Amino acid sequence: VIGNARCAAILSAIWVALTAGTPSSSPGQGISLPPTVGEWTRSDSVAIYAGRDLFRLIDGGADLFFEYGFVQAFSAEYTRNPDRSATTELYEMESPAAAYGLFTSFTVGTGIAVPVGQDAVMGEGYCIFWKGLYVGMVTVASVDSVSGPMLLQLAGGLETEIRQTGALPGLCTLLRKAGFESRNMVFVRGKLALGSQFPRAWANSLPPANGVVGESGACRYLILEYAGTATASISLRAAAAEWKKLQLPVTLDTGGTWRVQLGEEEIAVLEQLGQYVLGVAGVRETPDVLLSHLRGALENR
Amino acid sequence: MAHHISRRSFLRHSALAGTAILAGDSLADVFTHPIGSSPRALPADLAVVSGSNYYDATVRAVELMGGIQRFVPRGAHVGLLLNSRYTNPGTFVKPEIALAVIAMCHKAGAAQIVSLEDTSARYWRSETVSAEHREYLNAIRSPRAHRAVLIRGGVNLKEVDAVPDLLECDAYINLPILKSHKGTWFTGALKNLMGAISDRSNQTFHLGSEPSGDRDDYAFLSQSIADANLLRTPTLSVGDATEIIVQGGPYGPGPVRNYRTVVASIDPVALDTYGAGIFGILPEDVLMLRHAQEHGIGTTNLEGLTIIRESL
Repeated sequence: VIGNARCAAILSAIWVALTAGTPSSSPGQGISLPPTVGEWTRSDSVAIYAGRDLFRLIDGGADLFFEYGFVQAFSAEYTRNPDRSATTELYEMESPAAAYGLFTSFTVGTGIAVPVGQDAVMGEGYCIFWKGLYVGMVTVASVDSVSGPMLLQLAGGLETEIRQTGALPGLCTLLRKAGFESRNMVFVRGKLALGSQFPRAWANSLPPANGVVGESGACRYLILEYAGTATASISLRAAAAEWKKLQLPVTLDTGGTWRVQLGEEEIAVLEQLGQYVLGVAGVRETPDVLLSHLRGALENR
Repeated sequence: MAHHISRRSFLRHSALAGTAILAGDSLADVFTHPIGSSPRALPADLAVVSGSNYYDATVRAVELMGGIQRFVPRGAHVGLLLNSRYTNPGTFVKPEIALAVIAMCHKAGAAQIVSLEDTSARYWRSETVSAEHREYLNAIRSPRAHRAVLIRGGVNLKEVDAVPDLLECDAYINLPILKSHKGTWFTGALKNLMGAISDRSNQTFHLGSEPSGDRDDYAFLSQSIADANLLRTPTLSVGDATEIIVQGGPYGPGPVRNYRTVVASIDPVALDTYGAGIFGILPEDVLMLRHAQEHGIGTTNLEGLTIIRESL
C-alpha cells in the first residue's frame, strides 16, 4: 500500500522518464501538410522527423537547426498538372524567435519579399516563410515563368494551416525601429549561425549568445546579448585573449574600444555596452560611425 | 587562354567574388581580367576551367592536371566519391561532371569503378544519358558495408566506420561540389570525405567534444574532418563550381549562382582554399583548412602552386 503523495511522486517520475528526450509538446501539435493545397495534391505520405531524426532528412545541414532549437519537421512532395512537382518542408522550432532566426539565416540578403505568413522570401524556384513556431520551405523542381505563382499558392496554402503567430526577437524589433534594414539582419543563437554569417576569426572568438548579425552600408555588424554586464565583459575579454593567441593585430584604446586591423584599410571595432557586445567591420572610419549608431539604438531602447 | 594566378591576386579577386556573391557577379567575370601570364607548365597543381558545357570543362580540367592516365592506370580499381545526396538546386554535383569523370576512367582502362557512397537512381534522371554512358553507369559497383578503420595521427578521431573500398581502391577520385555550408562555412573536397564514412561516425563529428553533445562545436567538427582526411588523400579531386548554392547550404533551398567552373587538383586543401575564395572566405579563417594543412594533407598557400585557368 502506498500513500497518495508517494503515488503522485512515482507517477510524476514515470512521466518525466517517459517524456525525456522526446519532442516537446508544442502548441503546434496537430499541424501537418494537408492532402491538397489549391491545385496541388500531396503525392506521398508526410514524413515526420523528430529530434535527431533530422539528420536523416538533411544530414550535416541539421546542425544549424539544432542550434536554433529544432523540434520536428514535416516533409512531403506535391504535384499538379501538367507535370509539376514541389518539395515541401515545415520545420517546427522551440519558439517563434528560434523559427525567425532560422528563417533569417536562410533568407538574409536574398530573394524578394512576398506576402506569406509573417515574413517570406521567394527566390528562383523556392519560397521560405516564417510564421509563429514554423519555418516553411517550398521548392519546385522546374523553374519558369509560371513557377512563381505556383510556389506562392502552395506556400500560402501551407501557411494557413498554422494558426498562431509569434513575436519578433526583441533585439530585432529594436534595430528595425532604429532604421536598420530587417532584410539584412540575421538573428543568431550560437556559433554556427554567427560563423556562417561572419566567417572571420575575430568575430567567432566571441562566446556564443543570442544576437543579431547584419549589414549596413559597406559595414557588417554584430550585437551579442549576454546574460548580464559581467558576462558581456568576461566574454569580450575571452575574445581578446583568443585574438592574441591567433596573433591578430589588436589594440585597446582608452575609451574601451578594441580595434582589430583586418587589412590595409579594413578594421573591426568592438566594445561592450552593458549586457551587449557590439562589433563592426568596415573600411577606414565607417565602422566607428556605425558603432555609434548601434550604441544609440541600444541606449534609446 | 591560360593565366597563372598568384596568391595575392587570387585573394584580392576572391574577396571581390565573395562580396559580390549575392549580387550575382560571376566567378568567370571576376577572373576574366588577365592576371599575369607565364609559360604554361603542365601539369597544373590546380586547374580552373570555365565554360557552359560542364562535361567538356571537366575533361579539360583533368587534361590540365596531366590527363586521366596520370591518375588511373590501365586495370585500376577506382573509388568514386560523388556528392549526390541532396536534390535542391545547387546542392549536388552536376551529373555531366560525374559522367565525364566516369567516361574518362573507362577510356583509361579502369577495371572497375566503385561508388564510395550510394547514389540514388533519381540522381541520374535529370541527365540525358547516352547508351555508352548508360553502360558505364550500370557497371559501377555499390560500396561494401562500412567497417571500423583506425586513423593514425587523428587529434579527435582515432577510428571511424568507413567504406573499405576507400582504402583499397587504386585510385580515389573525389567529386565534391563547392557550396555554402552552415556548419563549416563552406564545403568542398575535405568535407566530402564524410560521404564514405557511416552516418553513425559522422554524427560524432557533429556531436562535439563534450559528453553532453554540444551541437555548436564548430572546432570539433573542423578537426574531425581534417582527421578523417588522414585516412586517404584523394588521387584526384574534381570540384563542381558551376551552379552552386551560395546561402542555405548544404541542403538548401537557397540562392544559386552559376560560375560555370570546374576545378581540379590532387591537393584537396588547395582546392578548398580556392573554393573558400569563391565565398570571399580567407583560408586562415577556416579551421578545417588550417587543421588539414597541419596534418600535411595539403596547402592553403596557393602562391607556390601552378594554377592554370582556361575558358572554353
